Amino acid sequence: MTDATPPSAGAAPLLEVKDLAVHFPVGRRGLSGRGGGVLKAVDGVSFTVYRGETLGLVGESGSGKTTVGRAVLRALEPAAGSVTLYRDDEAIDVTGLDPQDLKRVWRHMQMIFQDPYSSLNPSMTVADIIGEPLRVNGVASGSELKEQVMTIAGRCGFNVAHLNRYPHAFSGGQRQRVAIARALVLHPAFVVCDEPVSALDVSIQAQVLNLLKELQGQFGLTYLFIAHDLATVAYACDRVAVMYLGQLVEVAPTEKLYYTPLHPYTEALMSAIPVGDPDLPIRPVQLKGERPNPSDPPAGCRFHTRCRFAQDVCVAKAPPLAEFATGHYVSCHFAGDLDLKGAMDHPASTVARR
Amino acid sequence: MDNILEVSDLEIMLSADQGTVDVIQSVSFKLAPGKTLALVGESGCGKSVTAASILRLLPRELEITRGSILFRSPDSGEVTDIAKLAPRGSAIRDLRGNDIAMIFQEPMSSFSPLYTIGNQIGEVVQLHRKVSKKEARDITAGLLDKVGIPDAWAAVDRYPHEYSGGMRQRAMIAKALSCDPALLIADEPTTALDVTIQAQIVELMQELQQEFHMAIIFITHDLGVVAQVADEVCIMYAGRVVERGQVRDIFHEARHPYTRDLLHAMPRLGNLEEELVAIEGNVPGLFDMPTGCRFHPRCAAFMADTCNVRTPDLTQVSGSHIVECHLYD
Amino acid sequence: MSRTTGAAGVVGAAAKGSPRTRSYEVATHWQLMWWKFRRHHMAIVGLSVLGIFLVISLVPEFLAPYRAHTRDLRYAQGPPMGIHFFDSTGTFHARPFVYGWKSERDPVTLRRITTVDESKLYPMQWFVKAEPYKLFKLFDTDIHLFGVEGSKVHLFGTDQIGRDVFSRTIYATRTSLSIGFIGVMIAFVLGLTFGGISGYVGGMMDLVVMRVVEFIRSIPTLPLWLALAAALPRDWSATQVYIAVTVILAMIGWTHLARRVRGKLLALREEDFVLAARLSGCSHVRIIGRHMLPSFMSYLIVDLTISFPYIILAETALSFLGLGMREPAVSWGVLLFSAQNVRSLVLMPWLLIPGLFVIVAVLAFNFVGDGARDAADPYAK
Repeated sequence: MTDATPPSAGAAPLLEVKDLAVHFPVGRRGLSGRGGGVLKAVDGVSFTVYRGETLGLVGESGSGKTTVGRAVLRALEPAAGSVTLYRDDEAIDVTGLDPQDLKRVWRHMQMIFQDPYSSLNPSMTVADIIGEPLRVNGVASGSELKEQVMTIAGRCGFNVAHLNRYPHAFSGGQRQRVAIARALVLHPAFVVCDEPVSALDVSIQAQVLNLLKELQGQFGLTYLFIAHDLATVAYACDRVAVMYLGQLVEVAPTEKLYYTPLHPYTEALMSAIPVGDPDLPIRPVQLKGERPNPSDPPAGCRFHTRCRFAQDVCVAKAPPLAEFATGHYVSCHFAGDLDLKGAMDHPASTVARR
Repeated sequence: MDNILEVSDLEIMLSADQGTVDVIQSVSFKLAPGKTLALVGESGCGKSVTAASILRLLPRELEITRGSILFRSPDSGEVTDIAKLAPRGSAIRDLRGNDIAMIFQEPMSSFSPLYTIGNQIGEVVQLHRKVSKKEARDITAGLLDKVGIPDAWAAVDRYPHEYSGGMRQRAMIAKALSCDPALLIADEPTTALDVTIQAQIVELMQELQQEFHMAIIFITHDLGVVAQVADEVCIMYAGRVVERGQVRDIFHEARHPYTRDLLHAMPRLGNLEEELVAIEGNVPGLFDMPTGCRFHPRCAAFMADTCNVRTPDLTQVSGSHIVECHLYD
Repeated sequence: MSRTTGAAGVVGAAAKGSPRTRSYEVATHWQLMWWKFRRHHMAIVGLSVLGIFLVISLVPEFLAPYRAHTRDLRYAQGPPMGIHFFDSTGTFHARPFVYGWKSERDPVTLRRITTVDESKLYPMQWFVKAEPYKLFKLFDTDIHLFGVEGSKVHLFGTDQIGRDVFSRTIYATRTSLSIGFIGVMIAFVLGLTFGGISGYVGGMMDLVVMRVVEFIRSIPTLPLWLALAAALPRDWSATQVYIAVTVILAMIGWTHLARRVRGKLLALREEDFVLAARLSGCSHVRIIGRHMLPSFMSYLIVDLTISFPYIILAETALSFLGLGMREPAVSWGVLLFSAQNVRSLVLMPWLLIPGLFVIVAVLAFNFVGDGARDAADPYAK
């Protein structure tokens, strides 16, 4: 997938997210339910997902990446911003839909969850789980439903002889295949993959990543791929967006992000990835201090408290996410002026070249 | 015996309603003082059970049925067979308190939310050394400082929930160090952490190992971390050690098909063009173990009438590099 | 025991790959629960005891040799009769028998005493014809499980006015258990409704329901029962009192359940599979009915089992204090009420036998509850 050409300006957008914000109430609330603070889990995030691509969304815990994934589908109500889905010639404003219309749009937008143990209802058989979207949307019933369930389960590499079993009979990898089949049974155009392999064993991760890639080709899917480590994302994504404390700090085609990162946080994330070679110890870029509390983010650039290049301007003013080079967006006052180490400087690339 | 720990031919059986079955089979390894051994494998391979057996922290259903776990106390030079001790006796409790410490994936599990971190570590310090409460507090603050907790003298009086994930992990390491152990067992200590913090914790553990001259058993499924921390590596699959050797043997000269596949399945940075190699199939369940070599149903180098019939013998590749595979019989 | 999670995980995983693999893999939620429940021997014992109690409650007329109010004046205040196989001469009888008795007055205290007359033997009979009754209120019959011909058998002795304690205990079992059952059911419906509203609708409704629950729970229970029970008109019939007592007990019992339902719903709302169902286009009704209810029905059953003995004990306590059920109704509490004073305790300790039934029933429910609690989450590692 990495050799795919990064979407040029001419590529058709499938999903457009503008100034998305999600707030959670925190702290004590009075009898009236008001009062207390607000946690801005996602604060002004904008990006576009192009048809047929995989956009990676990477961040550490508390960065708001999962929240973005859910808010895009309106599984969570955004506090502000807009999400637009382009289908055929129609532009659907997802954020403005009433519940009935939203249900119809969900046929085109689906989700694969991180934990295949909690995303499958334990009291339903695999066949019922995969068939449910067909049934409740009135798409198919009876033998036709059965056939469609078998087709999609087979495509997802699930043994169709086991369809009448319950989820507890299967391992994580098999369950994840069921979850994928359920998400794809209505043939959606867009799928949010929320850390789909992080709960799986190493040997199974590759199976599921390869399956997702294969299905993308077969069904012409577009993915928003949420992950916490840059190494996995490299295999799965055409473009990568890096999140820190509820905001995007850098968006770029995978190779550009890897070889010429423009944000100090991206550099730090990359430098911490283990090499997998005992002779090449990594030298992680140390981040100063602790990750700030997301309910009380620092003023100015949110990363300034931990950035080794921070200047006065970083405290005073928040840098906008601006296009630095074609398709390469970064939110840093000193974009391009800093000497940042990319993947080529990472010891792992030495291994790769050998 | 120069090694601090020698596990030989360890077998652990599980008794369940469905009968008894082995969870660990002929597991052997050695660990020299001050060195790090990594136990690597996927879920259900028995790495955590092996570690728990060294402290005799096995649940009732699991029982050591064969083999020995020899531990040599660095102070007295006395050798104890942990496998022979009573699991709830005072001998094993003494070992746990003084010589062997353990840290876990989830640091909250080793702290009570009701007391300050200082209280809880100080208690261990007091149990271990004859010091007053005041002195124990000072020692605790010193330990917290050593594990890189900023402003350690104030942090002593904070409660576990006031620490961030990474700081809790550091505090747990401080607690483990408080009894000055000769052997530290770390069960997936970095798995729940973010990458940037994971790197810091790994570095910290290496520094502390130098300073305290501890041996470490590092349990993980992450080969990337293993390359960083380990001197020796045991690759485990379905309750058996399939390959073991020096870290370079494993990463540069891997022999077992499973080890090789694992190395290829690991996402690495820097080789964007390379495809990930998947290992087909699933880890077998305890009650439907394949006959012969337990990896044979998933193995690319499967040889009919051999791999599915006989359990392979151990083959010495070189020095301490040992592999269990019919390819090298 | 977080220390052994890794190792304990293996135990859980082992349970998964059992040899009866086929059946395990296609087993439903309830089958898995039953398999796990079966492993608790005490729970199985408890369940068997409850089964016996259920049979007793269904056909007390058949099991009790006499009716609750039949008086045997000749054997008033008589102690439990022993069932013998060997007579006074040491001869073995294949059919067990009871001795006859003589009733006379103590020449000194003038108290009436019953003495065993070892010269008369009355063999026990199965399926004897005695007082007529309607089985299940439908079939006229006069067959009783056991009895003796020509005399009477009082296994647990008799009370002050000669009523058979065994028969009365059998009838009381029905009353007490049915109060428990109906009370639990009312509490269940109330708890499910209010807890459900609170947990699923949330917001203002949640706030109001929870404050009401907290208010009810903050009232000391015993004085509240006393006040409510004392408010019952004295001239109500036994049936009316019965219904009133049940409702009073249920009114207090539901709060606990409502809280549990709410907590469980709030937790389930966050589950991935519930979100997945929403994204699949499921209606609210389907989400609750197909996805949420089955996942916490098992927990509710545990709660019901555990709240059962509380209601039984509460009824017993109320009746014992003379504020709940009253004669001529028979419940365990009513029977114990007659064993209240020291004099009858000393002279007729067998009047406490119904108390044993209460203890056995409560223990049985608790054992079953323990087993059920463990089985409620059959997927736990």
